[in-house]
Amino acid sequence: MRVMPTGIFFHYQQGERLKDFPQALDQVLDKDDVFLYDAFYPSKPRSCFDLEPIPIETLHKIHSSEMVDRVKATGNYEGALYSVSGSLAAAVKIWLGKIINAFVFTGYGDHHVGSNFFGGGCYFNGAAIAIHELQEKFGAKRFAIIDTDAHHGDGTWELFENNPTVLYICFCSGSSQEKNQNVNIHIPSKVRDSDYLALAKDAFHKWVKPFQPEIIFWNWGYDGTIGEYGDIGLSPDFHIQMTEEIKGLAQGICEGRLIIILCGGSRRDLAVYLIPRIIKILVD
Amino acid sequence: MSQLGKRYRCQVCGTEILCTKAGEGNPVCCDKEMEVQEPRPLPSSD
Repeated sequence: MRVMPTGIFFHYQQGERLKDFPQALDQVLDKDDVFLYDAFYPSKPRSCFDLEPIPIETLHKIHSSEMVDRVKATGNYEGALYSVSGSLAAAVKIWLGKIINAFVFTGYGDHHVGSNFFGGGCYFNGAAIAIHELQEKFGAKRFAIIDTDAHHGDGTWELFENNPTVLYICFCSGSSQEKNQNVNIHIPSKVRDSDYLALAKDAFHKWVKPFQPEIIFWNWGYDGTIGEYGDIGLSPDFHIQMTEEIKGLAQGICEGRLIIILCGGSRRDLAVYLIPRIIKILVD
Repeated sequence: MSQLGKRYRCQVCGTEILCTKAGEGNPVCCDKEMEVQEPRPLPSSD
């Protein structure tokens, strides 16, 4: 039986966190069922490689033109654009059956970006843009976004609070609540791995399985790990267990279609420890 | 030594390759060592 490949979407970044990449992927890149889609090579025509910047018109379908202008003024526009481009390219390739799952390296995360605001190191909402494109161009219907970054995804919440086609589950310190298909699961300020995983399994059973999404997006942040800026007491290996859990969930309800979008977390050593292991779980 | 994850280009025929496993040698095409393509790093949040 042919194994469907895993896609890795990567653009070279100036920051400290991903300095060891792509070299740290040496145990996965040489596998036949792993594809690397990379950027950015200024000497080459854009069409040479798969990870192309998305057009500004696509940004405007989710974010106001005024907000896009404000992002441009920060000087981080290009990095933000390639972060979103990875999420969109991954979603399209999964939808078209080119790959089964994906890991997207971003320079800037998603979930603090709404229709007309941004903050917290996020400039565009890649998952929201990818979902809009799949719905508009390919007729896709239902999606789930699982958010395990330590902080509340105020932007993603705003974008989907009146959209019944997208289930958004945010695990964070905010109070538990639900509105339409937006669900906030309260996580204590200090939590054991096993307790967090139990809450996640319950939420997946109660919300995700009945919703039957066609693709699962996972806004994955490791900022809740011990020693990180959002430390809630999680061990590094919690993220490995959660990956296995969410991969299993995707296999059970949407044939394994899963996109992991790198969000919070700053430690270089944790990135080197976690990301190759998480990608390996996607591949195996 | 070749560099994992980097792209190489043949200056003669234009062939481009992606290194997925680094080794001691450098890739050769049309009897010449291929040229590594230098990506430009973009800003990030950290």
